Amino acid sequence: MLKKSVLATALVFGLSAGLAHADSGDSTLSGSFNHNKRKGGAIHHNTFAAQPITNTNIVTVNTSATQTSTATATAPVTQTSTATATAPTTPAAPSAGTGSTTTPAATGTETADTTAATDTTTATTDTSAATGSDTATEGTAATTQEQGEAKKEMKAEIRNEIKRAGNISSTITGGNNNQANAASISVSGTNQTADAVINRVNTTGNISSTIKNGNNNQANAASISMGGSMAVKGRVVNEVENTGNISSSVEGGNNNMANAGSIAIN
Amino acid sequence: MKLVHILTIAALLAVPAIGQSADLLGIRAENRVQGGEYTARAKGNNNTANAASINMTGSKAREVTNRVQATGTVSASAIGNNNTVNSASVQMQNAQAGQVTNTVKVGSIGNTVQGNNNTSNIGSVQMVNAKAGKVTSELTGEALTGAIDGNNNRLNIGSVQMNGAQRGDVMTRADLGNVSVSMAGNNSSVAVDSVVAQ
Repeated sequence: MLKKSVLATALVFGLSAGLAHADSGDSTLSGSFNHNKRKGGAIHHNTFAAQPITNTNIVTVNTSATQTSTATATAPVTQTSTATATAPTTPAAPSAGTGSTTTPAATGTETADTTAATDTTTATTDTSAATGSDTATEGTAATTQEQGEAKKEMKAEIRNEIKRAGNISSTITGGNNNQANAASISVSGTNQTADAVINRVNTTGNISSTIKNGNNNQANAASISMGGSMAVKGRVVNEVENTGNISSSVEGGNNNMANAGSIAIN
Repeated sequence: MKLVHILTIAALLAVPAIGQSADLLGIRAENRVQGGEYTARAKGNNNTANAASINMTGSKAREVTNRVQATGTVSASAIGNNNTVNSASVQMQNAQAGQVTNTVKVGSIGNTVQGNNNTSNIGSVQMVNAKAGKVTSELTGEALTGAIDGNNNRLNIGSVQMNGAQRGDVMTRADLGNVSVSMAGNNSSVAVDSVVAQ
C-alpha cells in the first residue's frame, strides 16, 4: 500500500511538472487559450524614470453657466487649458490631474462607491487630501509639485475624480498636435509606469471636448487615453455615472481621435 | 489513507496552475459608463471616434472590460477616409488580452460614416491581429442604426469580428429591438448578431 502511494505520488508529480513546462512558453493569456502555442513572453512591468504627465481638466462647481476652456494650441503635446470658474462654492477639482493624485479633499474618497471598495489598487498613495485646495491657483501649484515628485518615482496611481460639477468643456481651435481633455486622464510618452490609472466622473452636467482644425488631434471627454509604452501594474478604470451628455469631436485635419466615455490605449 | 492520497494529488496538480497565474501581470482596463448621451465625432482622414468604448492598439492587457448602461443615445461619426467608429464596443488591433468583456445595455446607438475604408462597430468586439483568451459580448438595445457611405466598409452590430486573431472561447448574446443598416458603396460587409472569424 505504501509503495503504491509513493508510486502514484511520483507519477502525478511528473505529470504536473510536464504541464507546467508545456505552458511556460507564454503566460500572457489565460483561460482556454492556453492550448495555442504563441510567441511572446509574459508581460513585464519595468520601472523607468517617469516623463511629465499632463491631465487637463476644467471643472467648475455650482455654476449655472457653461464653463468653457479655450486654448489656442501652438504645438503642445500636452495641452493646458485655463479654468474660468466664476463662483466655486465648494472645493474645485484641480485644473490638471497630472501627478499621482489631484483630488481635492472634498471629492476624495467616495464612501458610497462600491467600486472603490473592491478596488485593491487604489489605496496606496492617495495624498489628495493633503494637497487639495479650495482655489484653482493652489490646485495648480499642488499639481506642479506632484509632477516633480512623479518624475522621481512614478509608481503612484493616477487618479482623477470629479463629483458635483457643472458643465465641463474643453475647446481647442487651430494648430497641430492638439489635445483637449475634459474630465479625462491623458498619459503619453514612452517608458512610463503607474500602479493604476483611475478616472471617476459623477456629475449631472454635460461634458464636451472639441478640437477644430489641425492635424494629429485628440479630444477626450470623460475618458482615459494612454499612449506610448505605458505600463500599469494595477487597473485602468474609467467610470462615468449620472452625467448629462458627453460629446467629443474633432473637426477637420488628419490623424484624429475623439473619445467620449471611453478608454483608448495606443 | 485514501484521503491523504487525494490531497497529495490535488496539491501536486495545483502547482502548475498557481505558478502560471503568478505570471499573469498586465493592464486591466475597465470602462464603466452610465447615464446620458455619448457622442464622438471626427472629420478628416485617419480618424478614430470612440463613444463608450475601449480602443487598444499595440498593447497588452490582462482584462479588458467595457460596461455601458446608457439611458440616452450613444453615437459616433466620422467624415473622411480610413475611419474607425466605435460605439459601446471594444476594438483591439495588434493587442493581447487574457479576457475581453463587452456588456452593453442602451436605449439607442447610431453610427454614421462617410468616406472610404471605414469600420463601424456598434455594441461589438473587433479584433484585428489580436489575441484573447476569452471573448464575451452582450448587447441589449432598442434602436440600433448604422449608416456608411463609401467603399471598403465594414459594419458590426452586436457581433464579434476577428481578422487574423487568435482566441479562446467566444460567447455572444444579443437582445435587439429595431436594427437599421444603410450602406452605399463597394466591398461592404455587415454582421448583425454574428461571429465572423477570418
